[in-house]
Amino acid sequence: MLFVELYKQIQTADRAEQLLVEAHVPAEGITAVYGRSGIGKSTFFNCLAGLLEPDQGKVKFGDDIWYDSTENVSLAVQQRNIGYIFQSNNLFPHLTVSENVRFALKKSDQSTDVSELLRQVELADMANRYPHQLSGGEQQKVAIARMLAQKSRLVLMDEPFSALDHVMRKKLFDLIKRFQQQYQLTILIATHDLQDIRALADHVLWIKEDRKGVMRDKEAFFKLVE
Amino acid sequence: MIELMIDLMPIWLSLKLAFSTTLLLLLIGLPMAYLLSKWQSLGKTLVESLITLPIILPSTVMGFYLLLAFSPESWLGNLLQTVGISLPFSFAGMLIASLIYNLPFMVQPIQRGFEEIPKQYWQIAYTLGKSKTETLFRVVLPNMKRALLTGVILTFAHTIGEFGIILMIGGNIPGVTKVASLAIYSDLEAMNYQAAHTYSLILLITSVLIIFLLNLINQLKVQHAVR
Repeated sequence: MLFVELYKQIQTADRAEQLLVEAHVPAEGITAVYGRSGIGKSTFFNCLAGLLEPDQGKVKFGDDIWYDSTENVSLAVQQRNIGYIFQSNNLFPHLTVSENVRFALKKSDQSTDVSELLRQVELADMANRYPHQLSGGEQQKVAIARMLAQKSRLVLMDEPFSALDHVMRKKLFDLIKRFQQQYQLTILIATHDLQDIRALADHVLWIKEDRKGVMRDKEAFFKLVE
Repeated sequence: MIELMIDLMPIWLSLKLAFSTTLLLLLIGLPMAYLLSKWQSLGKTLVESLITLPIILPSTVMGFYLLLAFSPESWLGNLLQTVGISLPFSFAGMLIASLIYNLPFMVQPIQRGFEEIPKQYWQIAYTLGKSKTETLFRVVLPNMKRALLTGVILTFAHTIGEFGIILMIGGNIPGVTKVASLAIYSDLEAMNYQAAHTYSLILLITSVLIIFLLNLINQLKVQHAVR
């Protein structure tokens, strides 16, 4: 279970607004974080990851407290072990595909079979290629393989399908669903696309126009938006 | 036919000055460029303007003020003299002048290099458990090789070609501060045209090679394109 209660001030073009997210995200399954572009989805993710400090609140994953403003606890991003996949620029251009995946391995865990991870994302024959030699979808697959190498339990994906065509989206949906079940991952996917939510999500965290984010049952969510 | 029998000391001094300036400026310029790339305030514009000053200011103006600062009459020169250091007309003085004068040629390309690195590279490396230092050396610097090389080559080339500020601070002392560019001036004044010709040709070839190298780097197929 991911417990979130956080406040963060967001500076818009003409004023400061408050982002408030209160949610109990189930430990297993895929949760879509829905809201229009610029509403604060990335800010929310960055606060979860420890890349941004919330103004106030509490973030707890399982038994681990990552952030608690009342107790003055704020775990460094490096200690949270979160898999984070962005819309683009996920791979380091100077490293090959296998080197990008290997980059995630901890010093104490060099035995992980990178080739096997690449096989799982159907890129075994591209291990020695550089990111610029891959399509957008293939790059996202490498980022997924790297997330598996990292052995993170919580995965944040920030608009990961925006630049991809329909066929590649479908392939990635299948991969993400399979890995979620196989590795029992908690996955949060930020999206403003209802099709993505329908195809992929088990739950929805909806950040509305007032910048307040709350959990919604998937069916109830679709009844409200449609 | 060009007379090749020349005193090689000025060439050696030019190279020594160029290598020392480039190496020291890389060490100074790298953290400076990093801080400037991250800094967002009015102070940044002021510091950037000061760093850019040598590009537009006549080198003699800067040489004049540095000479004043290094002279025993100034508080700095006086302080240095009490610990036995005299900078005017010394290689060390010439090196310090060269460092100040070349600062923009090293800092500006590297700062642009840092600014072009997508923020996500830092963020991804952090989420993968890497520290700031590890991210800098394993991710960021390898992806800004072109910016680093541009800074290094521009600084080296500019140092080789320096004249005004070197003449004012160094004083054209044979074996100490008489670099190749000053040797050409001295040989011309002494109507020793063959030697001036040889030094000029060596500097010309060096400059052409450096510019060629610079263009080659810029035209290299961008294998690791930063999108």
